[in-house]
Amino acid sequence: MAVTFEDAVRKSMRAYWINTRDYDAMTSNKGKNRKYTKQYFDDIENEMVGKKPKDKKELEKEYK
Amino acid sequence: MKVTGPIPGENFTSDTKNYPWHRPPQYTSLDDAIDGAAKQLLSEDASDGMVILLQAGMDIATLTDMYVTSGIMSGKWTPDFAILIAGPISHIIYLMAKAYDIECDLGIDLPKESRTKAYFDAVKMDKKKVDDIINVIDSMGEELPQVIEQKATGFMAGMPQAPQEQAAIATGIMGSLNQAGAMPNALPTTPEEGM
Repeated sequence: MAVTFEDAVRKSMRAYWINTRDYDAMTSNKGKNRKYTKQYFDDIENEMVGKKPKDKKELEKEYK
Repeated sequence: MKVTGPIPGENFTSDTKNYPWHRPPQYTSLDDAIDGAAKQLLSEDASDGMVILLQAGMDIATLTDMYVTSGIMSGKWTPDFAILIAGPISHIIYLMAKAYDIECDLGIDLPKESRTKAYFDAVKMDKKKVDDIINVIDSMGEELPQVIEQKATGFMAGMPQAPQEQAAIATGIMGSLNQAGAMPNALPTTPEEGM
């Protein structure tokens, strides 16, 4: 099945937004810490609009 | 004979270094590329256009695709690099939409989250409540079918008819064949016939 450039862009976006380890492995900067990670943009969003609701992992920790 | 197309091998002799995407890209570091993209996206001209498109209902994935493709055309990054930075660029555009209170769609189908143990514990029915429901149904006894018939609507409305009544009102092919006597009445009308 042929994959267009647009499909590849959407696939990369999907990997970024669901926080996959594949995306982190693809974008690792030879061991150096990257500045603009998803956490960086999430922190900006929290400052703008307030804290986001807790995700599944945080809720699981509290449930235990 | 007039030759109008390119000669095979002509591309090797033509001067293509003037195309931006044929030159080495401007950005090779992810952080530098995102920094440069953010500065351009947040500039006055680009942000106006972006916000107008978001307000018009365009999804973020399409805008991201447009932006990274324009970056390839202007020689900022290579196509594979553009695919890598698509995620952070989409996040910048998402934050711009949030800042202007614009409802936007990411344009990608995010997977549904799987149910957690907390969810299943919450929906686990109390055994006592289940027993109470069963006791109520048992106590209704013969009244239950009437209650169902009164409350049933739509497809389930109406109790099923007796076989004789169904045969009498048969319509279509089966009805016409039955009237002509071409097909025996398959449904026994008396218990003796059925034996």
